[in-house]
Amino acid sequence: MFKKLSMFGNSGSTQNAANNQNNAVLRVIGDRASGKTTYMAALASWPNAEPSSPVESVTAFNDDGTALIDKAEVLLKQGLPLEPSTKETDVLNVPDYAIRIMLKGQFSWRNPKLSQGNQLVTLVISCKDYSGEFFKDLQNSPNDPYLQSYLQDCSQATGIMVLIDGMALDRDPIYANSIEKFFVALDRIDLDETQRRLALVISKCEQPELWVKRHTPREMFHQRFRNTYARLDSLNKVGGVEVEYFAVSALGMLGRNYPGPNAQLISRDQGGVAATLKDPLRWRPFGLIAPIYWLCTGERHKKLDEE
Amino acid sequence: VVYQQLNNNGPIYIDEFSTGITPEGTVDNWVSKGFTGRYMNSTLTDIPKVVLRAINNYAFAVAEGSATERPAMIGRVILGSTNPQVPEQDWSVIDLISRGRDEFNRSFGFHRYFLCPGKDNLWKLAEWLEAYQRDQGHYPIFNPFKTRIPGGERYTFQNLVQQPPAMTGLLQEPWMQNTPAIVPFSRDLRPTEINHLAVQKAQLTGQPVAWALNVEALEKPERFLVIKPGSDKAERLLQQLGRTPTQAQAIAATVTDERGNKNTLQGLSSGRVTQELVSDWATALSSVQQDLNNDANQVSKYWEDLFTKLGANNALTTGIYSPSMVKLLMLRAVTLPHTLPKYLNWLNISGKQNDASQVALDFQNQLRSLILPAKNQPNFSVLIQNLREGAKHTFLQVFNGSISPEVAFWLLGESRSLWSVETPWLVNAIQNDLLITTGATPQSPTQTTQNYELQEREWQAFWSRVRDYNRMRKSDRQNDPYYQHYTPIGKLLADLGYGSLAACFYQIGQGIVPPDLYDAALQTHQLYPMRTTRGMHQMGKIYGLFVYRDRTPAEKAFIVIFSLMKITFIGAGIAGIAWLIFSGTGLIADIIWPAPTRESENSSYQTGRQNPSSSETPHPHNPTISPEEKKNAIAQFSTTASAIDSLIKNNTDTTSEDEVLQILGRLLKLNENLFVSTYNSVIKPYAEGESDQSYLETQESNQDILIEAIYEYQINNNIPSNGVIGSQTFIRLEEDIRTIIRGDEEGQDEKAHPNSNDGSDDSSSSVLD
Repeated sequence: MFKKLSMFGNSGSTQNAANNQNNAVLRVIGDRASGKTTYMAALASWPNAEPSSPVESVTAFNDDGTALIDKAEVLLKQGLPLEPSTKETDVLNVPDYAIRIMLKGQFSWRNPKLSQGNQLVTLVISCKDYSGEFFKDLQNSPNDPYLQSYLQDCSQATGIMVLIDGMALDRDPIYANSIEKFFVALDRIDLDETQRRLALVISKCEQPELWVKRHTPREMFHQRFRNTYARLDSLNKVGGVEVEYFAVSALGMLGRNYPGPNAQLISRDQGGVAATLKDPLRWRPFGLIAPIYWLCTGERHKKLDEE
Repeated sequence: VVYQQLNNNGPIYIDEFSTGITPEGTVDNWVSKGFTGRYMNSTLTDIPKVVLRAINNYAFAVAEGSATERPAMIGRVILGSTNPQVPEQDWSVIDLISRGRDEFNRSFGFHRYFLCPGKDNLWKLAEWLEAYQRDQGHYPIFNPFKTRIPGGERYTFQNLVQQPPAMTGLLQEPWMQNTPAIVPFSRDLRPTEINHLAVQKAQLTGQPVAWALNVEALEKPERFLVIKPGSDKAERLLQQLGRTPTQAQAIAATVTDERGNKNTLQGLSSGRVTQELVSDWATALSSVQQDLNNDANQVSKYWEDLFTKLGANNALTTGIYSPSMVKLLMLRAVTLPHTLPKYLNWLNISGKQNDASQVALDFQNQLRSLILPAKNQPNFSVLIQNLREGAKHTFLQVFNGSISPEVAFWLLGESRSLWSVETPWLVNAIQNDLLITTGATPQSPTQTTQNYELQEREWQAFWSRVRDYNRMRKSDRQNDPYYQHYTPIGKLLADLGYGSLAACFYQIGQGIVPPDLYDAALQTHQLYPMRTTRGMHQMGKIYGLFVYRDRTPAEKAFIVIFSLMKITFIGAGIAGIAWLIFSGTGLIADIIWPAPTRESENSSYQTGRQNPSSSETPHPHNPTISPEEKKNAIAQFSTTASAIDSLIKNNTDTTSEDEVLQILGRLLKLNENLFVSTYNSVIKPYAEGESDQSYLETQESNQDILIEAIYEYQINNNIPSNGVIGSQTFIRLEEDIRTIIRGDEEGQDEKAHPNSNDGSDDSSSSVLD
């Protein structure tokens, strides 16, 4: 299973050499309140970018995408956590965010196409963020007919991003189960054997115990979510799914020498953390683009990883 | 009009349904543990489709983060459908939105919808809500534990008043003059009151009643008539509405299923090509036209807006070539045919395949396979019409030079292309119109344009030059660069495999047809191949148009060699003898003319003229003019030309020039049209002294034909034959012409007495056949 590559070529994405453009169709899945929409809103708004960042610009170019920026405004101006995304039984009602990310060029041995000197590298993604109920229903009511249309929709994706609240340790056995169920179901619905990339993204890494380990996301995930890690590892070995690990924070940190989370805590326990932005003026998320870069190109971007 | 049900003062039955969640806790203290994806606590077995559609189209949507402790209220009249196939009734709906939380302490709005059938019951619903509030001390807000079942218990209400309260005072307020009217936050307003204001607004604007009470922010505020903000801040935000979409757009969004249409386009462009979605798309194309009363401008604006929202413009301007954008823009090019050239330009098709054009073709192929079987279904008619428009547009773009024939071929000729579905239709239409233009299909003078398949103004311009073609002199045509525009059309049609039609446009464009096309056309069309000793251009007629065959490189080379031989071995006798031998035996022709000609070889010499009519005595075969004589006749061609010119002018007192020309043509047994064209292109200019030698060279085949015809006429009439219209021939021709003109007139007179004609008159019909 999962042997043949998708129609978009070897990298799992189309590349328009003339424009140095990499495209990917992504689906973001994860438990309720794992931070999926906040991640997307932070990405689309791209606030207070660091001048030295390899990211030149992030632009939402359809209506669904710009609506994310409105959501970010709520987060910013009202200091409220974002509303949960409605569970749509018609998958076509799920917003499809179209976002273009421009990166300053960098050198790559493995993929000369990405090494364009000073030229910009463009990542174009179309991305749906499913409500957390999808992830829950996979586990609890796998026979609900609406799940089929979601899986069908997922099968069009070249990359899957699984967001996991790094603090939700209690959920490890559930996640292990859900992720496996998801890929088994996806495999059954695929007509073509498709090679997919799965970015396992640990969210809410502004939390101190996560932040200190942000540069070694695989190890961090292995330590914290042993069951899920083991299941992903076996999926990776069977083939068809390529897995990489990333650490992100949509809220970011405050301060340089004595950094602390830019987060106003709402609740925090072994089931996860709920927080909202503390200082909107200094909002600088981190790590958001590294998983997208990998999903688009199949390569890790050193500078993005170190953000 | 609005309160027509006032007399019907019976109770109303109020149905309801609510946001579906999994609640945890008690009535007073609960949290949501997630959405169920379905509505709950519904008294209806099926929630009306029009109501669901309105909800889906943000009719009751409050913006993110705007749910407050104080419940907001949205009242709307939702119009049903008068479509006899799927009639749906109107509904009056009031939605109460109140804030709740989930276990992660995220707060958001929960909806409880109350509805009753009919568009005139909204005020009763408002009355009921007020009555409920008076009785209970609160509004009937969302309550997950208030269990309702379909067909089970529901609220009923007998309103006490006969009609809604009058509030004429507020109508004059300055804020009521805008739409939507933003009621100042400071002014207290009850549900019945805001409803009343909205009803007044509805009467003025012709829109269905829609109001919002105590809202912080609405997803689509422009789709309301009256809004009462829930705070000062909300009021300020709503006042800034000035730059939001226009009312017209807002109305378009509500009368059409904008969200549904958006989903369809997004679904298709994200690669979900199913029969259902393709059918939804086709249906959307026709239903939006209906919904917007066939206002072409509004329809086009509507779709443009929708595609812009989906990112189409951004993709175009910033060069985003992701598969979904390539597909979305392709859908746009079908939906809005005028965007097709821009799309082709953006795809940068130049004969070579690129990633994007490959994605576009694969996508078109998928769509094509689903559209072809459904093509004749009524809901596909607009889609098919749009494909035709696109094909027509592309064709004209080739004509005006904005796109190359190669690019057009990608669209019209590629077997996987969606537009190529309608290429046969287009070619057929062009053929039809060409035949009318050249006069090959006679049309009555009263129906000047009705018979044309392609009626638009651009096409009239396209055909008018074709119409002029036959009338214009070659020199004028050559000086008119406009005619060159027809050559790419010839190329495109040739690539598409319509050789004969292509030949016509090559002829119009460059005055000559590539030999391969000509030869292929010869197989299927009645051509009049002619061979002459000097010109050696074959000539024929396709779709009422005279076409000339160009020479192949080999043929051209042969002629050069032959000319060189003529000069080199000039021992004039040798050349002369060689010429005699070759031309006499037809050897040259056999070498020069390719195979297809041979099929008509037996008649090749004579088919340029009328077939000998049965009434005529067959003359001895081959009254061939000798090369010497012909040379002589050419030298004296000016005599012939002025003689013909005089013959025409002498006889135009009672008869038109064209008719005299036709008679003369018949007498010389030339194809009439051919003769008319020869007259216009060779004789007239020559007689008027306008023609220079180089021009004559190009017309030599026509000249030769004429000389041969005169020669034959002279033999048949026992006049000394030399191929020149001298005085004897002139007199004889003039007599013949007059006889025929008289005969025509008599013939017309005799139509009243058909029996008086014994059939012995062979002057007109038999000769004219």
